[in-house]
Amino acid sequence: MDTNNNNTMDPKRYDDFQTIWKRRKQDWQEQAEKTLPDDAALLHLVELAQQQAQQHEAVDIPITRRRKHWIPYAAAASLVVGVAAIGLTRQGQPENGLPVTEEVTVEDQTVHFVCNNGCSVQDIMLMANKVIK
Amino acid sequence: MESSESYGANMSNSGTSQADFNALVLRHKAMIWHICSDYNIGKAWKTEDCMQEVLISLWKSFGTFEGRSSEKTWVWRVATNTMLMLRRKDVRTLQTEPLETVDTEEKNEEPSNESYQQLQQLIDALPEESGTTIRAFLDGFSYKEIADMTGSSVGAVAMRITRIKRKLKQMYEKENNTIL
Repeated sequence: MDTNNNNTMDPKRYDDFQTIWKRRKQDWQEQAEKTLPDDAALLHLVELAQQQAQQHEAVDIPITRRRKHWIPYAAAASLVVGVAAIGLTRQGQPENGLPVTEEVTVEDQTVHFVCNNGCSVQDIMLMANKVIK
Repeated sequence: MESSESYGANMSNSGTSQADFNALVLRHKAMIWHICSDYNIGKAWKTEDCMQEVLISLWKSFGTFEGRSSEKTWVWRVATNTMLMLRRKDVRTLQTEPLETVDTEEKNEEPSNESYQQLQQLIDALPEESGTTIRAFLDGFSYKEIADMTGSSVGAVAMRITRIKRKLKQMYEKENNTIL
């Protein structure tokens, strides 16, 4: 941790590690603001994102009849979502078991849940389908 | 079903929740933009695309945020998870460029930005989990907040951060061929 011994410091180098580290910690906001779009451009991006988001909303996963006979719906729901979460965690997402869902309901042989952490619907479906089939 | 702490928005968001969402984005705009550019060092052109993806994720999750973590932590987490997901897709679908040939057309660069970017690139070279932890720390989250995010103890987070910082320092020194 000692950074005071700079006898052999490369004269060509602009910063030592400690300086860059400190600057990264203190100045990231200032750095971001240098290239950040203005509010109007940002809100335009928000508008585009909202339009795109409506194309796919919550995730619905059908439970097969076979599965229904083996375990109750509520258990199936937690199994599907739980294993989907484990699968995603193994792939590195979400980080360290952050919650995947905020809400799980089961209706008409369908597990319905809402992803709350930026996982793609496709990724969750992929994992969940592996569990169901 | 709706928590009193939630924004009460869902996929058919009303005008009010749209206004709330716009306000949230403007409150955290620098942090969101920073996360998008942080994962795209030397590829400034990609930052805006990623920003849009992050906004989609945030918008889709907006109605389900219940205030169990702070708003800042939640935004950071959604944005970071989205960037990790995009990165994995990139790895699966695109050839990555070697660092030496990466386009560094940043605007308003200060002389020492090269070193700043070098640190970012070294963080990129860490395992995903270490990279995320150290980014959270460098973005100003406390040990306690990072512990809550990762489901670890404060002591474990502190130890992990010390270890990662030491590793980064070694990597930095090796690249620059100097010993501090």
